[in-house]
Amino acid sequence: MTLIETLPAAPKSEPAAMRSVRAAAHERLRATGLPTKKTEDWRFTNVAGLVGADLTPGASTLRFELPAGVTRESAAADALPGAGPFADLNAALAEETVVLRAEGAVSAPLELTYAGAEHASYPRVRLELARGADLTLVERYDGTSALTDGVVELVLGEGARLRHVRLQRDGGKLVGLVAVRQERDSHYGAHVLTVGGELQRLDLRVTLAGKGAECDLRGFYAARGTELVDHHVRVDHLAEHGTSHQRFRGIADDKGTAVFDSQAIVHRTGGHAEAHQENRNLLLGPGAAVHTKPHLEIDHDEVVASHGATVGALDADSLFYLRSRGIPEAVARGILIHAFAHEPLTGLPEAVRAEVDAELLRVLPESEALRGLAEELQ
Amino acid sequence: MLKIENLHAKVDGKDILRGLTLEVPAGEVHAIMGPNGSGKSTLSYVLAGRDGYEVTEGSVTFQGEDLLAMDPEERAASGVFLAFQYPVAIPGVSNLQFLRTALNSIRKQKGEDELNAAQFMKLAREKAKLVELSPELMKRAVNHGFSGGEKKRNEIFQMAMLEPSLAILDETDSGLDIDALRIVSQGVNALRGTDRSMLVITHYQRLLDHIVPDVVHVLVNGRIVRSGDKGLALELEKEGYEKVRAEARA
Ligand SMILES: Nc1ncnc2c1ncn2[C@@H]1O[C@H](COP(=O)(O)OP(=O)(O)OP(=O)(O)O)[C@@H](O)[C@H]1O
Ligand SMILES: [Mg+2]
Repeated sequence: MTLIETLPAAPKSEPAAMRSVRAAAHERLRATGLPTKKTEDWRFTNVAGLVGADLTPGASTLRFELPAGVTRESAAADALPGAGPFADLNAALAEETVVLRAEGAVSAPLELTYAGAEHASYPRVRLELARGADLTLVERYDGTSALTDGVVELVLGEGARLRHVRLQRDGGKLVGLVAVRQERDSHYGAHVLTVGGELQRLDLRVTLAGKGAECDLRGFYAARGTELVDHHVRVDHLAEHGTSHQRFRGIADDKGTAVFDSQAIVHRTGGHAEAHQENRNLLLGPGAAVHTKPHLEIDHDEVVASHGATVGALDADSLFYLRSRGIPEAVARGILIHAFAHEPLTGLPEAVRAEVDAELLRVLPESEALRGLAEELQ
Repeated sequence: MLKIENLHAKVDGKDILRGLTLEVPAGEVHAIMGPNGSGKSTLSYVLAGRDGYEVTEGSVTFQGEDLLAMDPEERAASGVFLAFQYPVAIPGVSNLQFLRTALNSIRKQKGEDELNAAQFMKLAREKAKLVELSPELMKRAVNHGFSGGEKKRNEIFQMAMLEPSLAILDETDSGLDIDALRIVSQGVNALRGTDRSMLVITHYQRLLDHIVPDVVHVLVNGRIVRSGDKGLALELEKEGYEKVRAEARA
């Protein structure tokens, strides 16, 4: 029995356009199937365990309340062609697309919470920011999912500004796509925190479609135990004067595996671009592994670009310096690991700062030794 | 206070210290001078307990205890402080946070009460004045983006905060202009006392005009080849190391 045969049929009540999107996604999925180890983008991320699993969607796990300035619209059909098998699976099985629209300066954050469940779920959200809108979006992936396969589409109108915090702390299997489209002079800032879960895969794709658009993508991830954490980040510079920053750091401890794949593509139409990619990893456990691959593709002369990826142990000089001042080794290690993890998370919206600090204390090694040291000194 | 006997040490399989013997009584300041590569920093790292420095022979006794048996943090807690020749920058860790952790770790290891934030800050402001370290520098990440002189001042600031009984200053004067040299020396002199010893490693006699040593030792090829009073530093300055080198070979 193939996966495709077990897929339940789409609800009959929905609009024809949506039905055809589903049918197309279903069709593509039938052709490709779920990725295997031979699929290029999935070399290190084995999803074989999902092939025989029950993928039947259960009740929606998405919870949200809308702050003033954000409204819910009726769903329009949209597809993300070529977004990959899990995006297709999501399109085929999503119960509905939640379409939200933000106008003006929205002061309270929009909070989306996903309660990972024992059944598979396929949340699908599309958020549009009107011209000049300003919003903070906080997503929290909680619980322990059998499978959460989510798609979040973010569309930033001209001059819109979106700060996006995505806390991935689902203890189970989470596969997500965040697809961002930015119009002229818009600004998108992402802070991704991935702290645990048996399988965590995020595809973050940003298209700088309008002139002068800017994105700043940051994140920290931790792979502990036997966890697998995989981030694929891709920015497409389609229009001139675009700026992109990718700054991700992670640790792999115990037998954890971290995968980081970063692409910046400056198209022929994307001149005067600035594209920076940085990925640094700490390899802490003897059985841990990190696979990092930065990739820059330029079809235009006028580009300022930089990229770097490192995998290493804690710096021995720093460790000795701290210990030579009387700081016990475990504390010294903890201090250095925390400093490493916090660096890409600077600029976090105030609303989530304490929560992120607590998550880091929870997951980082040697945190025990650091408790009580967090007090601010002025 | 500190007694080093026939110390032999290897780095990367290479013999660097070859039978070094030295004694620094409590309250005294001893200077160590020597040509590049003679093993001065190696000695300071061996005393502070850095990994990768293998002691193959000899002993180091500090206040009656076997110093070489201790971890670096235990040495710090029992009163050893090394001012690094090249202080390490640690981005993301605030200088004050770091120093408070250090001070309280040492107090804890000694069975003393930890200082709260207010007590700590009072002390820090007081000691920062000693080396004219600005509040802005105190708060920045450890040595991150500091100039050479600022790093050296920060080392002495840390020393003033931790109040060691043995301070090892590894070329704290190198790279300092005359004003910075005066400031750093003032800081060091303020800490001189009957219960505190210092080992001052330097290339230049001029530092010893400011921090006047009780004894000057010359280190060549991993061994002390001559010791004398402060006049020896002047002599070396005039004649260079050739003569002591030749004596050492003879
Ligand atoms: N990690 C190392 N691996 C191999 N050799 C080393 C290492 N560290 C030091 N050495 C060698 O040991 C010798 C002594 O070095 P050391 O740094 O102790 O000299 P020094 O007297 O402090 O010199 P300087 O005046 O230049 O500071 C040198 O020959 C140096 O090249
Ligand atoms: Mg040296």
